[in-house]
Amino acid sequence: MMMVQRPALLWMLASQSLMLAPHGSRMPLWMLIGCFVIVAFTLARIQGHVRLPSKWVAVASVFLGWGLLWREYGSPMVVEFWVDLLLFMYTAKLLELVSKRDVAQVMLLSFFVAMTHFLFDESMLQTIVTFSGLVMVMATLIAVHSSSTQTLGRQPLKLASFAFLQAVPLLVILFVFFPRLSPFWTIPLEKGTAVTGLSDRLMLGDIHSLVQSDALAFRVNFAAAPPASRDLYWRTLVLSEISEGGWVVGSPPRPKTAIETPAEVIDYELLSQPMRVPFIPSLDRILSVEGASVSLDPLGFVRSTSVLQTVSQYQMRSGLNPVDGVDLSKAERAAYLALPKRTNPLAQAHGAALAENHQAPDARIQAVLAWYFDDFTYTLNPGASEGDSIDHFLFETRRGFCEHFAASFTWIMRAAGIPARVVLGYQGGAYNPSGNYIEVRQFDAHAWSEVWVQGEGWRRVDPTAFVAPERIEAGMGASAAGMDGLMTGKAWDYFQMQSLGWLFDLQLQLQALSHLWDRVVVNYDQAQQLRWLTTVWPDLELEDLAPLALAAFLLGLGVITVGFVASPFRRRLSQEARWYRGYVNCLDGEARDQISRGAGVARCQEVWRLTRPAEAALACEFVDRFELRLYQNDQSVVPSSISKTLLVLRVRLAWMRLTKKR
Amino acid sequence: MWWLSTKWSQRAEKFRTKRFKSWLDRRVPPAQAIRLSHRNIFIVPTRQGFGFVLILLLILIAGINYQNALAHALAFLMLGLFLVAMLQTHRNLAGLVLSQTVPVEGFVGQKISVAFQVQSDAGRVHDGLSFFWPNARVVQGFGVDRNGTTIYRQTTPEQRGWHAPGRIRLETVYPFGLFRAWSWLDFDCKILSYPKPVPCDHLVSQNDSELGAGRRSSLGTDDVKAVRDFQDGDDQRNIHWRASAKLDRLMVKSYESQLSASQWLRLEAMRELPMADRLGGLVYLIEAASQRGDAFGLDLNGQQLPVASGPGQEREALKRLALFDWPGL
Repeated sequence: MMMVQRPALLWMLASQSLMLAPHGSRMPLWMLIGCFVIVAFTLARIQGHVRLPSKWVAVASVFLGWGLLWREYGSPMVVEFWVDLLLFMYTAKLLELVSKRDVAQVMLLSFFVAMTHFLFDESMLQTIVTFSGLVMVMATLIAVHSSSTQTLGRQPLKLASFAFLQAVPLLVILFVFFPRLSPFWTIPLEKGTAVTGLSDRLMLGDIHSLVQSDALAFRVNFAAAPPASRDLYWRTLVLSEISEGGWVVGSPPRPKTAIETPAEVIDYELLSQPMRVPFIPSLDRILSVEGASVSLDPLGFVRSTSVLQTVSQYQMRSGLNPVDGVDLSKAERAAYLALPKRTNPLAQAHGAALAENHQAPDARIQAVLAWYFDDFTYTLNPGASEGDSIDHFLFETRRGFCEHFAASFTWIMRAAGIPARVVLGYQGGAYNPSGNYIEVRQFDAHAWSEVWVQGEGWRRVDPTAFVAPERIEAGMGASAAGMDGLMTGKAWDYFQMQSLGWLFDLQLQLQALSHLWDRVVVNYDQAQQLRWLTTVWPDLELEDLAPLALAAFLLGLGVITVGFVASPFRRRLSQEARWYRGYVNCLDGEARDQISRGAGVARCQEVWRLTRPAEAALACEFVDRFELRLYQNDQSVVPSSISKTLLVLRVRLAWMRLTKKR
Repeated sequence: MWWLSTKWSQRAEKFRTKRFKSWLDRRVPPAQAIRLSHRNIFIVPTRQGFGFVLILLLILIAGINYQNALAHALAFLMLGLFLVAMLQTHRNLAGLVLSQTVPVEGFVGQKISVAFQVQSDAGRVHDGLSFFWPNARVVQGFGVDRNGTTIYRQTTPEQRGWHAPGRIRLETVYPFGLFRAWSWLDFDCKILSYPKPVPCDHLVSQNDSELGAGRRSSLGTDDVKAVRDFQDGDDQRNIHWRASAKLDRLMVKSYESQLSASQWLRLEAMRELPMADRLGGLVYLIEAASQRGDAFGLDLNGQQLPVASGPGQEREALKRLALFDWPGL
């Protein structure tokens, strides 16, 4: 028999379901079904259709759940294993739930479950969902502890929301001021869910699968106007070596010195989503980067010490179309010309022929690009590659995607004696006017080449631009629209959305909002904290942060406490007394004397007319209404009308005093 | 119900030393009406409250280790909620006015119901209150709305005389169960407890009867030992119709105990009873006499209550017995 009232139990089930829901799409299907069955069973139990199962059913189901979870993940070193274990226990508790204490325990556990939401999703929507769930949790606690049996009404929800509103100021104060500490220990647990994104090698077909995804890659705020779409080459990895038929980062010799300072320098802030590889995209040729645990690779891209697990923010400076000052070393030249023997012999032969026919490197490059322009088709659906994939592409299908063009072009260049490498990254991005930023999604993933031109340095050559110029000029959306039906999956839905005018605008607004959320809230770290607070207190040191946080917190707590303590005292004064007091406060010195000496209101009004004739009419109006309500018990005079008259009177007087002083 | 369990307060009883009691008497002085405010409300987190803080700390540590801003935010929200819960729980008691003014009386060993008036001074709704003497388990919580309410709680006096039930505990964990706010209230309420009745029919001595003896006549019925004149207040069913017809005035049947219809109840007559039961015996007789509506007088070793009848007489007699002071009794 349950010792808890039915409404409280219904509240509990509702809030628990709300706390489980965000994990629903992630957890294994059997577990989702299991949770659903347990909740449904408990609902039937609350309604009195079934009884509490024997203890052994609960024990058996817990062990079954543990076993299945172990089978599912196979290792305790993934976060998901522990989160799902927690969720399972959280739900299975319902099988032995009897007392109010059990309900309270489940509700306390809900807060821990709320934290697990944020491990997987830190978006604003998720925050709203989680916090609403917690309001329900608090409402459940209220319903449990109330002695009234009719608590399914809105009352618990109202009280819980009220408590939340009181707690939020403290949350904001602490969030802003609380010192951000560095991790106490590194967490051995890794997230097991796959993140879509570039990998650290290029096999033909990799990017093609990426282009199906509309997942967000990163967003960029420019200090000045953003460059044109054709200049937005987001270098992420430089692939210099060939291994097992694919291009990999490898370990090429380090260049001797850095590049010369380019003419055009761009400052921007990049907010990267979690990545699959420990590399952060950056625009064209990166000059400097600020952010947690990142470093500049001498080859001109950004390495991170570990794979990004969360949204991270970086301040970057890049140069457009830079010029390399020094020549390639012998070792470098050898590395960028190396090709594996016996693979793709046709392409190698083609390159060798090219080197014989054209003397100037520029002519060799132009010849290949012209060949691409004449004979090749850019398609999102290139078909599977066979055998020597580059030969297959160049001499059989001639239908390819950016990766095909970049990989084959680099191959031919090397065969033709021009040092070349593949660059993997993103190209373009959508400009969001609502938030004034550029948003790059996974379908913007791109691959291109860099070739060494004597006297100029590494020159970017994007063969795709010659085959499908609209891809580079207008972005992925334009080329996808041209190739109807070829792009599938979510990315296609995304571009379909663009045609729905207002809905797309709304989406842009929401995206801008979510970008703002990511920048301001999710990415609020020590650096940003200092940057923010030093705008208010320029002399602020890091050590001052803790006492400042404490002071601000105590101040906030004091304000809330005073609000609590003061409210009963204020209420003890009746509405009539407050009106009277308000009126007396409006009076001038002389009139106040009169009324405190017990003079009638009539005498008081006389003084009014003498001293402030302009306001006398309003004051009379107030007194009349007050009298009608209080002494003649005229119910037609609404209290709000009396309050309003008094308010207008006070505002007029205040305004008069203010103008008089001036 | 776990939060109403008296375990905690029983534990509290142990460390309620004399010093603590005198401190409490100064802090929350006995009064007929007590208004709850910060002066007399105590508040500490419940076990759930400590659990809440533990979870808060775990979330904060996880937030720091994962460098997760929203986990930070969640921990801060929980801290805010914890403090708001403290204020809310305090507010649930603050502003309540409790009073106990109606005099109460009853017998030793019997449950006596005491009425307490509970009003909300602040004009607010209070919910989830529990109110109990430390050793009396009360299951049902209650709420108070703007109109106030009356709460009955039972106490069992163990000795005759003025029974002081001691401080009563008003407690709440509402709204969130994270804090327990309570107060120990002393209403200065005096409960007059009468000695426990001890059946003692056999002790009634007929020597004491003054009126009944002369009226004795045998009318042939076994159970009726005598008849006497009808008096106001006699049960009509007891009218002896045959005797009434014979004597031409209303006569009533008088049973054996009624022989001493108007009698002196003397403490000395209880000598055969053990010391402790003597007053109880008298109580029994008084109760019996009042039930019948008989007049009686009370003689406690010379302290005499004149012969009379009616509820006033009964109450006066019981009061004298409750407060009778004699060495050994």
